[in-house]
Amino acid sequence: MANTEASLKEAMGSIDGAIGVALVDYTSGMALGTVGGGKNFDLEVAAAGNTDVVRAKLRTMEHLGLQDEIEDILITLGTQYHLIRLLRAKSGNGLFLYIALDAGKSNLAMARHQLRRIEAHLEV
Amino acid sequence: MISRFRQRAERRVLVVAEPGVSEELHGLLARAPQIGGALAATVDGFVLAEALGPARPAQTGRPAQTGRPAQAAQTAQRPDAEPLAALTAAALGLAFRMNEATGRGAFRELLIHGELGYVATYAAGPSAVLTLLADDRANVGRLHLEGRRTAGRIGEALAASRHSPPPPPTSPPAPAGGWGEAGGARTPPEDEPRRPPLERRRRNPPSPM
Repeated sequence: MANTEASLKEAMGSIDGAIGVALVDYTSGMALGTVGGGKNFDLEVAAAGNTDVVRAKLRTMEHLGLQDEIEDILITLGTQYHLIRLLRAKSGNGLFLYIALDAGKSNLAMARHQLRRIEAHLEV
Repeated sequence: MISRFRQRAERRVLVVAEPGVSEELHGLLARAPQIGGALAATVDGFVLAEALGPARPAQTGRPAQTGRPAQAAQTAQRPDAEPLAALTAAALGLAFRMNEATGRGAFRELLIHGELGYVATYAAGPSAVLTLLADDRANVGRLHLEGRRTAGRIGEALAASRHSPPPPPTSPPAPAGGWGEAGGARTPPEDEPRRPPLERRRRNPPSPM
């Protein structure tokens, strides 16, 4: 089991092409932790905006009557991938991991696999 | 209490709407629909501009409303703005004291989370604040982002209008850098006891309770 800071650092260090990673509380839209990002990539903005994405999807599923849960969400941009992975452990209820990747430097399948592993070991 | 608010409302005839502030508030509400209301006020409780949701029907129990200049009547049909600006000023006083007592530097924002929603107040330059209302499902991260951004722009607009020449030749020129004196026209009547400027208030050491 790893804590938030260690998990975010591991994601940033071990996933190829990572631009920034954040652990976000989607009940409030605020980030519990961020690593990477910077002047050109404000992870606080990303946390608030992607909270709306997650909430919209959850609401849509509810309207469709789907008794299911979101495992992850992939958003493909021209030059980046954005991956959102909801925490499934009881302690991580209402949280998601968010990672932005440089499309040219990353391996999407590998990134998704690594993020799943990091999420499984994350203890909030 | 009511009569105090009425007094304030009468006094507000002297308040001149700051250019651009109202536009900022309406732009903010259009951009972030989860924000239910916005109010820009000076730190001493004067309304600068407000967008507190749909207009309420004019209140019958307020005869003071009739015969007022059109400018004042425009905001007077939403009586919630006045008490909210006054309460914001009171809450700010406490927040400044708390900040001072715990050595957290200059005031930035105040967030109140109630069972049914949020009230957030952001510093808009040195003399004004922006108060936002949102319901409990609001995205606080986004509330902060939009609130800080808009408060910054309101602060800039007020600073710009402070540097422009004061329009009425009857009132004395406002002292530069004074709190809540962004223009000669907004100065309250002379017989009103004024709260000391905030910068001065902040420097005063908290007196023992």
